[in-house]
Amino acid sequence: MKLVGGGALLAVLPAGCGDNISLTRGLFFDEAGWATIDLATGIIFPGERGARDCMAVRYIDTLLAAFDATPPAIFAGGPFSGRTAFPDAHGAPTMQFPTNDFASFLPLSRVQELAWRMRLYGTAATPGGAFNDGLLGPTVGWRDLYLDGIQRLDVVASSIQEHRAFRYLAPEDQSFALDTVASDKPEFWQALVEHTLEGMFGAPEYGGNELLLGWRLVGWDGDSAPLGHAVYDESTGAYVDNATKPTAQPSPGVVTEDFDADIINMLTVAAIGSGGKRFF
Amino acid sequence: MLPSSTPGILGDDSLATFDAIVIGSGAGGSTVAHTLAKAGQRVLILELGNNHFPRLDDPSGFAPPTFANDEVKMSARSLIAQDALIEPRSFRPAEADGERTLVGDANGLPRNVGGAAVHADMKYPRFRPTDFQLGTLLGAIPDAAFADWPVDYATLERFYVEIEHAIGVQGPEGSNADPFAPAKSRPYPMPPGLPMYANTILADAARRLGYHPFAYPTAVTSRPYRGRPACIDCGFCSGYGCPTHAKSSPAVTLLRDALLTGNVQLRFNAAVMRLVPNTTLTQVDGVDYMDATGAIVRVKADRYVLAASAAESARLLLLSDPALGNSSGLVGRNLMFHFQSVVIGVLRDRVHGHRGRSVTMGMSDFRGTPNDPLHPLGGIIELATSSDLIGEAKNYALALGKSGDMLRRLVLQSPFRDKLVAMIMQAEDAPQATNRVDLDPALKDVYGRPALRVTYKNHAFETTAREYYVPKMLAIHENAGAQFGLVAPVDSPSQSRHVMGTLRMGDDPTTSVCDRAGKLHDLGNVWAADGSLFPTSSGFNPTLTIQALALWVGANIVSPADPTTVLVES
Repeated sequence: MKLVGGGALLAVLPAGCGDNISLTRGLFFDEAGWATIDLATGIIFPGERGARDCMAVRYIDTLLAAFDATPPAIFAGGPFSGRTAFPDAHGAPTMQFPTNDFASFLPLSRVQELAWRMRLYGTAATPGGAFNDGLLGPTVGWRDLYLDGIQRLDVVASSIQEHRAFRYLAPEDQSFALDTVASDKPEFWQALVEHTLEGMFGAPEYGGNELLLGWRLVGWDGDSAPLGHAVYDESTGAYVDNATKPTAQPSPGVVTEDFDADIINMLTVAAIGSGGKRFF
Repeated sequence: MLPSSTPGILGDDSLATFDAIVIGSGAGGSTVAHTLAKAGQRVLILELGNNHFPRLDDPSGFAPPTFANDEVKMSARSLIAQDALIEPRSFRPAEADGERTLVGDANGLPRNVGGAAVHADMKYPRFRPTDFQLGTLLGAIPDAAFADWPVDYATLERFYVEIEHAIGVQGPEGSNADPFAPAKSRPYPMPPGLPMYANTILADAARRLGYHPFAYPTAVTSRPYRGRPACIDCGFCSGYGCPTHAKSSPAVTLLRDALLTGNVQLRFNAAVMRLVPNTTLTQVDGVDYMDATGAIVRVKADRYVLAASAAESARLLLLSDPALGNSSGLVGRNLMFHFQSVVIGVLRDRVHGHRGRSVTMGMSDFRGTPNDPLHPLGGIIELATSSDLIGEAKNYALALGKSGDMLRRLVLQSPFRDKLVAMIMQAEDAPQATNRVDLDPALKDVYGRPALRVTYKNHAFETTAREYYVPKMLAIHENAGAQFGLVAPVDSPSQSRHVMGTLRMGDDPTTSVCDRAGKLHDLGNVWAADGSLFPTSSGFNPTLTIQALALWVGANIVSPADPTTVLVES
């Protein structure tokens, strides 16, 4: 299922189709798998600075290949990323930045390693991981879930358009195919959705959130330590709130924007259905 | 020699014989280990989880932790949370529902050096005097087992003071304090830090409606305190380990102090398999644990302290022998969670609930008064927020089933994070003998132990209180200018991490498992020192009381004639 030789295939495709396919090979995904998952993440969270711009697919690929690295790329280190400075005595940022502790990963204990091998490779394929399989049945690992999901997307794609892989479908057909697979492969869908969002909004050391585009999209502060949002000033004996990103008062310059009509409808239904109220 | 140079050990790695073995390094275990070590006893602490406080035993000062403002690590990948893949639990509402109705997470608590408090936002209110007397005050209630505590508030008051000062609690005084809170013999060691904007919006509304919000007593520094810095309000508090040691969690306070005495050795990644009782089940002669390599190791001491959390301490007894400590038949029973009612308000404006200590204000107007129908026994209200970006987006995508453009618009307009304010009531949960933990007959954990099973159903006592108070909570949101008020489901099964009961303390060995000093009635050398001891749940966050009670237990071990001799802060 590789895109090697796909040049010839591309030549017979209608203009515009496949233009946005990435020709990247990952640590886990081959080019076709990478392109498929990349496109799928973009359907889940579309648009500028969306999942594709954030390289959510690279987050997923890094996760699925976590055990290629030593220590495994599961838990980034701490306490600081170096993205914010140390504060001075009055709470203002200094020019001193901590080193990036997130860049190296934490060693796993025996049972942590076992858990993550079970999660990635499945309980049956993990020595010592099948202890509840007799009762619960085997748990499929995420690597197999993704490979199976990619294959399933292509099968559904070819039923929409003969001999056409998912990645070569028109965007509206891709959405339809992904919807179909979401209903018949719910475990794959859940993993894909969760990982897409983690890849957009997690720390970039995990492989996604390219150029912090995910955090910039929503105005998220990101990891704020060691600067934080308020500092105790020993010279005055009082806390100083951060001037631009305060904790105790409204953020400067923030304007009220009403929810759009769809969201108002959704919240109305959710509020009343929960036993709550709409107050306006 | 400190710090330990042996992998898997904190504290004095040369200690080979022990006066006491403490199972669990959390709020209860750290406290009791500290008390025993200060009195000269050699203590071995066994901790199931891993360690994220490198060189916690270094006398030259604090080393940085490996915690961080990292939602992937702490939340999405659950660095310290109980991992249901290797430590599953099962759940069923009642015995009649069969062996189990769910497998996965059932009220699990973090596994790591320092215990569950590591991930808590450390709200540390005291219980009220009447909370210790509900058996008498409420009288008989059908299907409930309310009981008086064998120790009262007056006895515990100085133990509260000791913990508040030893670890560092910030809290309000005088006219700013909770007007319903009991008198304290010593002020909090630190004043409150800044309140979160999201909290003050609700507090102002509550005040307009005649309620009495206050700065929440919290075990987080607001001043440099005993070698730790003042909190910087980074915002990654509830659910996160603290990156700067400002959180006064047991690890960086009493546990570190205990390790520095030189009388303590802590072995982590050590899963206790069973207590080894004598043949007559009158005492325990050893503990078998599985070490970090998977080998079984037996260790012995004169006495043993169960501090593995209410659920796990009872499970350890059942794993050892179903009859151990169980002449009352009550081991594992009267399991309680706080009955949490969450009412959220969605505002028009952004209130950045991700900056600050997760909860900075509360009110106890809804705690109620025993037997007053106009003020049923609910619990303290946390004025809360929503802070996690990935968690928010997953809610839209998975709980609400939105993707594509609608998901994008929800994340950008952020009704359930940046515009969300919440009230969480931590209400009294009626003890019921049928609510319990026991061993699942087939499910196992990674250590080969039978999994813990939760059997739990709510009593009308707490659901009635919810029905009474939820409309009042909605009214506060309306007054605060919320556009929508939602009642969020957090039970069936309960999502509470406040786990209590299971080895309840009392003076009568036929109606309780442990005595007034925390010793098991049936066993000459075993004590409990965690939330398992609670006869009732109160309506206030439990960890301060767990620590005060663990201190009481430790003080009774080292100085039974006058437990107050261990107190140095009052």
